Amino acid sequence: MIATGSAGDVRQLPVSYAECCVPISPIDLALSPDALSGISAEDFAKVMSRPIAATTLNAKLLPARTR
Amino acid sequence: MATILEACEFTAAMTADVQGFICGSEEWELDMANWITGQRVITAIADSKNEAQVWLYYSGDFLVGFGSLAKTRWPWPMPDGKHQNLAIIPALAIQSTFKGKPEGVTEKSEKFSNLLMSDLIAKARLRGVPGLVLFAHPKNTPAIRLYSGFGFIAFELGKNGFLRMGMPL
Repeated sequence: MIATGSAGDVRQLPVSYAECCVPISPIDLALSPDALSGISAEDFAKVMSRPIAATTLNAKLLPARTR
Repeated sequence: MATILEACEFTAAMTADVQGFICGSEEWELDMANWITGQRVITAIADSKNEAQVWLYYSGDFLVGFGSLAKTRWPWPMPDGKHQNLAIIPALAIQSTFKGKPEGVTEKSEKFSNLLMSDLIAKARLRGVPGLVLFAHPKNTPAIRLYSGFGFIAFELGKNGFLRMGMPL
């Protein structure tokens, strides 16, 4: 339960843990040491054993610019 | 007409260059703008453990977007291999003004988003890692379509609610 509203209009709303917590940013998650934890071995193997896509093989560096 | 886009590696001295970065009003877009304009990007590049690098992408004098790479670790081959490095894209975004095809561009490959993604993949390959992974908000359909076009496939949806995608390099 969480209290909300202005003084005199305080209501109790049922909320789940997930709803009342700020979700972790995917950016922060990606930069955490266990970014990939929870991925199944099967899923990961399926991706990594795939042939490399042509778009990846043809990926090109853009010109570098100095400030 | 070829799109001209250049990559400039971001440093802590360049925070003024990214102020006012706007890439949309969806929650994941606000998070991207908050990250690049605030302290979190500085913290990320200052932490040598994750080998994070961020690039600003310019077309002429205009800041089009940014992209980033970092290191993550995973046992490979699965499931009992030694932990080894993979590349991860923590964040990338295109400013709202520059989404879609630039003026005069007919080739899909010349869209800023494709050029930026292609550059990040080429940079990831230079790291000598076997794979590249990322997280996407499951409602961010344009981004998921972009990643899929480059050969990313989706893992199952994680407990944290983000779609995890990856591909071999």
